[in-house]
Amino acid sequence: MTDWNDLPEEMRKLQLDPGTIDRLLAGEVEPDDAPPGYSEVARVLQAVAWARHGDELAHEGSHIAVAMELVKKGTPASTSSDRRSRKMSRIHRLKVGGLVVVGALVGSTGLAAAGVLPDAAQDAVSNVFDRVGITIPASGDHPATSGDEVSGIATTTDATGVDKGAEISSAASGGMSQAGQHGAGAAESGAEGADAAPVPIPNEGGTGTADTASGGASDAGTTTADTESDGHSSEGSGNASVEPPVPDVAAVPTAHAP
Amino acid sequence: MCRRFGDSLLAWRAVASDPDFQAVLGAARGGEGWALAELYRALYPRIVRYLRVVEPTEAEDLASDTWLDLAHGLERFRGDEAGLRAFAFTIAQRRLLDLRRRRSRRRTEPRELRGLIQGAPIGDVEEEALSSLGTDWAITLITSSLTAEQADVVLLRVIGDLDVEAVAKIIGKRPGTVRVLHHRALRRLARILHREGVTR
Repeated sequence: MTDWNDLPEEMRKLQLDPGTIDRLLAGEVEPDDAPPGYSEVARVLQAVAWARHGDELAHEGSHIAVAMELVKKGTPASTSSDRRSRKMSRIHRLKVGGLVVVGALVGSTGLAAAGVLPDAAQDAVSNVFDRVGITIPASGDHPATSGDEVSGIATTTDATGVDKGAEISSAASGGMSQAGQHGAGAAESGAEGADAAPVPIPNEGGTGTADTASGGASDAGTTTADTESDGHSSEGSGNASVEPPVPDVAAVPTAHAP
Repeated sequence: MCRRFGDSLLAWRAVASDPDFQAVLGAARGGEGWALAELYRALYPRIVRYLRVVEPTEAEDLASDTWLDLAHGLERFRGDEAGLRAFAFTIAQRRLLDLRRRRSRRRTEPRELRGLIQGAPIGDVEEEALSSLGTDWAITLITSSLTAEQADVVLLRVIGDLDVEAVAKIIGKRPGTVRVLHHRALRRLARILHREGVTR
């Protein structure tokens, strides 16, 4: 494409001011009166303005008839309806917006009270409520102050068993944990369960235990086992009698008789 | 305002002064046939011509829809005759955009609008320029040698007889941008015509 600088001096000097452009586009500049270099442009623009095919008004009758119908019966009703509709729409939007704001406030306050908001949001809500005398935990008020502290308690406490667990749990939850405070401890519970079972504690032997527990019903089994094993099964019973098993009361808190 | 473009502009002389225009507008709002006909003859040919250039295959349907929308919106319109013309072209432009949006949703093959102008002497501008400066050739020159935005601005200003502010509102640009666009368009036309040897 030819660069503007390659054009003759006459063209390069040619500058159009806004007024001339407006007159050219409005067809007010005859080609002969146009600025140098723009006479053909003026001719082209006039030709475009005269762009007619002679059939633009071919459907005038039908178009006017339809327009009359539209104007006479459609417009006033639809206009007032539109206005009413727009008004209702505005009211509806306001209601919905209000509900959203209230919902957001209630929801965020509840979350803040529970202390589960992100740190920044939690601090902000906490500060606001502090000013009106309501205490909301801040982000630094997390119950477990640090893992090291909890770990320290776990490794240095003198407590054992349930008491130790309860102490650690209480430290980790900032005193909110109720572990170990309800119900009997596992050992106690196991003892109760053991008492309920019809076997002596400590147990004196597998066969004897089975015999006692089954109310003598296990005799047949013992005998059968003894017969089938050529007397070897009594060895086990004997061993059991020598070293009676210690019931794992911690693992089985409550013993249930069959 | 220039009144020498097209016979249809004669219709505007009947509604040239603002009181007359307001009287015609008021009667048209009341459904008076003669008043609607005045407005139709003044507006419709321009709209059809513009749409035939930018969307030849759908121009008639778009123009009809535009006219009916305009009739429907007369009750709400407030302004003078230039404002009504801008209102009409705004509706036409929206109809045009709707059509193109629907067309893109249907995923039809895009067609080169500039190639659809009937009798367009594309590719042989020099010969046509020397032999004729007819309307079709002039439109083809504008649509094929200018950018789409430049062509749109020139066509709206010339065919629509719209001022810079009205064109800016219709195409959604600032008035300054419109001025830059048609300034560049005219300079480009001048360069092309000079290069093709038709400049005297």
